[in-house]
Amino acid sequence: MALGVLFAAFAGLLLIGTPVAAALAVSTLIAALVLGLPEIALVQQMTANLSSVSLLAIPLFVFAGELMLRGGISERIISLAAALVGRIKGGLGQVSVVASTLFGGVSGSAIADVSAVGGALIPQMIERGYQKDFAVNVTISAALIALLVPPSHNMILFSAAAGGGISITDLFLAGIFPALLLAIAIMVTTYLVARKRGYEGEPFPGFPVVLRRLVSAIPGLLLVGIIFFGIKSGIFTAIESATIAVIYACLITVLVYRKLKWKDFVHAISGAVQSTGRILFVIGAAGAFGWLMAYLQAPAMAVEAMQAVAHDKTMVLLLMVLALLILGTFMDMAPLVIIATPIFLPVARAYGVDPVHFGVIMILSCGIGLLTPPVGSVLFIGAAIGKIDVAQAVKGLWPFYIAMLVVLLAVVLWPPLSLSLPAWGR
Amino acid sequence: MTNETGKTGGTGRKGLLDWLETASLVIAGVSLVAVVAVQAWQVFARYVLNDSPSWTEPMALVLIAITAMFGAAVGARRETHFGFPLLADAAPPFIRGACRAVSRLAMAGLGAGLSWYGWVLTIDAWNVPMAGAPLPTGLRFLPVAIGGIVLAVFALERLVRGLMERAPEVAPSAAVVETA
Repeated sequence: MALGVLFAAFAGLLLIGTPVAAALAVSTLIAALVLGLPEIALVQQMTANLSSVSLLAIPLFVFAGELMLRGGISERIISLAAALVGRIKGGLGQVSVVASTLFGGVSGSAIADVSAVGGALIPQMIERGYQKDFAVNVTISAALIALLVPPSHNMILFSAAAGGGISITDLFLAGIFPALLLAIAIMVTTYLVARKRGYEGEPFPGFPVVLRRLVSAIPGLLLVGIIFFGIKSGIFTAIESATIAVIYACLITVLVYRKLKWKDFVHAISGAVQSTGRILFVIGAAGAFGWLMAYLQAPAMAVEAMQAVAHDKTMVLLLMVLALLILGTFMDMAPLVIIATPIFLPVARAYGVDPVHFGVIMILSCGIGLLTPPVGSVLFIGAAIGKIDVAQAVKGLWPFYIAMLVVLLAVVLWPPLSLSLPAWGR
Repeated sequence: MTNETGKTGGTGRKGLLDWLETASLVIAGVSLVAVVAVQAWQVFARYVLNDSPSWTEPMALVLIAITAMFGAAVGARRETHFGFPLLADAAPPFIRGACRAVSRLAMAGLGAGLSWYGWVLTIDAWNVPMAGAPLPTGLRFLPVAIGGIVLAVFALERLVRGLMERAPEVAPSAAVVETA
């Protein structure tokens, strides 16, 4: 009864447009009142989740990403990518994929990726005569790569939503091969679409230019090494590595690239605190919601329900992927990861799925939701940059959806793709 | 539905709540920079001074709660929180207005509830020392108490403005006074 009230109130509030955090908190309050639980316990749960150690890294990585976005790192990465792959068919499209992969490695955010790379490359592609939908679709598809490579915020979010017991280093390592596979799949798709539409490559600028651009991009790209090897070697915790990322991004963008001005710094802080507020507020409210779900034994019920319909690991994973893809069409990624993890992860564990493997599946499944209407923030940002309707963009997106689904299937069906690097790392 | 600036009217003059929004952004931003400073000190002290301070983590948690609550309050005013407004937006004007009013009321209620119970927890835990830092445990709940009330004020402002914006459907003369 109380569980029904909880979900009905949540769905009702969500459908009338209530912010997810308020929908989670108010529905939890209503169900708690039905059960006669003290309201103050909900505030305690919210506060505990709002300021949790495992989540401290997220605001700092978001801040570092904002600094890089405004400080000239992305521009140098795009120049390098242009020199490396610009001559392949669909030239600037291929550049977008490589630049997104490299920039994803320093920002860890699909939104930052599409803003930085898309902001620079979508207008350039349109100017060179590429159709708008192609320019937008290549860029937004490539932005998903950032979700899978360190320092992915969503990986940290998944680890926290799972109760903090899953190593962030393992998750970071597990995402690397799927990210590379996704990059290759999108490059192949870009090539095929470009060939059909007659988009040629750019002229090769010559090896001296490639070398010059590489040298110019190296200070920015070093950040990924600092973050990754700092955590991996145990020199820094994830939080400290995020701190180093902020300080390093400041130093590079101010002293080396000389691009970050005081105004940009203020905008970076303003963007970071608003993102932090949005993300942590949902996490806090989801903490209270999750606490009540656990009190009502909802995860155990989910396991039982799944056992009634699915008989093996692959089937249960495919069912969960389907559910996440559907939920992802109308929910943003962060709230979906926070809400779905405590329900789906116990089911995956009951079927013997490695939680790190499940983490990669979840991030990729929810990530595809960022490109699907009616709620797809990366799709919306890309369409806004390209100045086209979302519907127009989606029409040409299907080859990229297929590429992403093929990669998702490979990740689901072949666990070593995700688990071999973490195993090697240990 | 979303107002990116949240500024009052078209006069360019800043109202009291605009100042409150700016103050919230400054408080949240300074706290975020302070988290970086505190964590950087932890790394410096551990590797250079060979003395790992225990106060950095609890301090960082208090600071990040300040950033989160004041950032969330600004999000309530600018209506940039994660949501799914498409269904409500597609509804007829009267239903749409009602949905928005209920949503804003829920947000305001959440802010008020957080603020009230945040105060209760702050007072309850004020005399309990925080583990690892010479600070009262109640400090952990103070950002929730203060940020909650700011969030409630911003959500209520949105609620009242939303109700007044729909005034022309009921009383055109009132709208003239409002926009003059």
